[in-house]
Amino acid sequence: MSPVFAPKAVFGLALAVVFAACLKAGPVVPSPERQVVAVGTVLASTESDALTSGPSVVVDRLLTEVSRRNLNPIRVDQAALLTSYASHRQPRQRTAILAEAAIKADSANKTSATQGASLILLIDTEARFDVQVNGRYRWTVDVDLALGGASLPEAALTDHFTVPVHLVYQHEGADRAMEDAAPMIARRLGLLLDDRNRAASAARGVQVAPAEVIQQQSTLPVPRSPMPQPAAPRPAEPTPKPAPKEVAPEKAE
Amino acid sequence: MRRLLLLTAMLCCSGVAEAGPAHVGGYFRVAARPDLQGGAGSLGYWNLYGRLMNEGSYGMLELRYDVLERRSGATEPWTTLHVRVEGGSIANADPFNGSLAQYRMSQVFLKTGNVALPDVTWQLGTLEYFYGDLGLYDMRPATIFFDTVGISGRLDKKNFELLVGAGDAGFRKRGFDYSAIPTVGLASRFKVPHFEIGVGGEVFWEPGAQGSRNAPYQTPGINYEDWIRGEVVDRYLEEFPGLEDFFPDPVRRSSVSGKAVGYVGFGGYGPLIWNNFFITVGRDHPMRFTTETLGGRDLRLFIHDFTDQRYAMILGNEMQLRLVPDRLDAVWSVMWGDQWDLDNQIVPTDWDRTFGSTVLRFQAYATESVHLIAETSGARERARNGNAYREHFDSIFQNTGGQPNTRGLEYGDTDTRWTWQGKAGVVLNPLGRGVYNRPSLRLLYGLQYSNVNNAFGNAFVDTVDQYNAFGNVERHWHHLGSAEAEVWF
Repeated sequence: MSPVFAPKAVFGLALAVVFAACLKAGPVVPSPERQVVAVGTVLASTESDALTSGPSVVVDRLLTEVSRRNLNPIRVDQAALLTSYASHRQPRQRTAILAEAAIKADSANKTSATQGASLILLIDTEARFDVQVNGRYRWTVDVDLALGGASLPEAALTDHFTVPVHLVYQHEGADRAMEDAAPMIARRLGLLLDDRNRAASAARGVQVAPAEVIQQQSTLPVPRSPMPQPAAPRPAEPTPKPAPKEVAPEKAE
Repeated sequence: MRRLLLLTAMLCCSGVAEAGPAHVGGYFRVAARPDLQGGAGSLGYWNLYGRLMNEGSYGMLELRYDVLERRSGATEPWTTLHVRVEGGSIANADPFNGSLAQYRMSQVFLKTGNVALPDVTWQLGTLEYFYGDLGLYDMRPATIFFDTVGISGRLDKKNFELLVGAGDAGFRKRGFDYSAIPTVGLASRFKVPHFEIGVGGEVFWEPGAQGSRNAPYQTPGINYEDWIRGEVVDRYLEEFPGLEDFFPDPVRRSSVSGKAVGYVGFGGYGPLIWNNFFITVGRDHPMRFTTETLGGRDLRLFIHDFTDQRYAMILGNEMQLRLVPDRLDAVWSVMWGDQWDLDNQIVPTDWDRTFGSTVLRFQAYATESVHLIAETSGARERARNGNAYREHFDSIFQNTGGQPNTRGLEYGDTDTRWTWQGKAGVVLNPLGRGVYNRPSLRLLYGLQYSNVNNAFGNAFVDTVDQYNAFGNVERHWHHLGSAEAEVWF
């Protein structure tokens, strides 16, 4: 490398890094109104009989995806949830249990527990050790997501996918596998939330305002809603409304 | 044997097999490294100087098919089939241009659990098992059953793990000249939070089967130096002129080899994420034969006794550190190896040398996905039996004692190769922080200094013949740029 070329290359490299450091998170589709979401998380593992809620660092990251979209995530009583989940394995069953817990807590006291949640979100994961492969420990994390109205969980939007992760050390178990899978889970959860919010906006006649998207540091065009527009649409809301004290459960998603 | 057949039948012929999903995973590494100094695309000779920029392209596909799907918390039997195909060639990135001939089906095995014994996983097929990885070197010193196809059982308890296996390594070690090499081995691991220790080993035994030309033998009456020089037939004919048909018959032997491996791991203290230490001590399996020509026909010289005292000890340590959370990580590796060949006291070879190396890598995080990487390494390789390396293009004139020896067994003018490498660049990790997080897209610049001339793969003419039309060059610095991608999936 010539001595003249080297400083230019270093300068170009530094410029690229500074530019990259200025990039912000991608655009999201906010909910047309601020709603409370009762969230249940569960992590099962083929290497252990115990169910857990998953590592807090992952749960926090996933809740951030929810709150970025003008939604207020509230975790329901995880211990009670895990006890019920131990005998109910199917995601649909677990979604119903979560909805039931949300409604029960809601009718008991709307200022505690779920704070009158109108939505439920189930993040159901199972980590599985797969195989030693060329120096790594391959795990797969099966993920079931369900997002819907607390009063109608059977109509929830769902997503199922598997995330492979390759751990460096054998002692790293299911928790670490889920941590490594977290970026992919967060991405798919974000897409599911966007789908729900887009549909909710269309149903309420609220167009996703470009201002809201710009607020999220986006330079991408706002996706057009595939849903038909109502006859008399309400005007777009440029800023999110404050969290309502009481929110009626959604009828359908 | 009957139990083995019964287990095999249970694994393969289960009548209640549920067709589960198939999962495809794998690994790919591809790099563009145009070398303007005439090299072949790697910074140095091998990954003793760190795998970064010293390894070429690679591809691997791993298939898992759930014959009986495994479920968490369930006690019913489960069975999975694993198939792995891998090799070192990708189109436009290496001389083989992605030829499938460079790929092989390296692993095929069936794993099953909750069969016969609780907490035991049975594996039938290829059996490779390792304690961990020296990631900066891409080496796994504490590995057993790399050569073996057979059956193993692995007991998994909360604080203890024991794997016992047996099989045959004959095809891996002998190929077309197959000879059965029964293998037994075990690996154990005790583990508590923040600490693990493991010991294991394997033994290969190759019995001398009378009548089999592939069994181990030794040709009697031949001299080691004559064999190394390829002059056994010449010496024989000098001593016994006209007796070509009376060359001595080989004498049957049996071969035994093996190794012991150890592992200590600890971590989770302060900035130390984890530290792996590995040791392996072993004896290489003896070679079978080489060939010379006698009376116009190939003559096999059986060399069991010339190759049955090759020993090796390799120690490796790697620690991963989080120096500044979310900003700076580091990995530091050290490796030392000693190989000694008690049969050979005259010629420098890769079985009779010492080597040591250290690699230090820093990875800084400008953002979640844009990282800066810097790595440096230093290595020393020393041949026990004299000169093995060339420091200069005209080293042939600078042999031991300044006297060129055209019949010498030495190669160059020094017995030691020193190598230093430095590499730096930008890494794009879409999935976030972590030295070992993948996929990675890397733009790198690497620099190497070696006391050895042109110490990298190249196509130079190294003869000092007066008819050498391409000339010679003295070069100890090597520069290389690289754009590369690496992904696990």
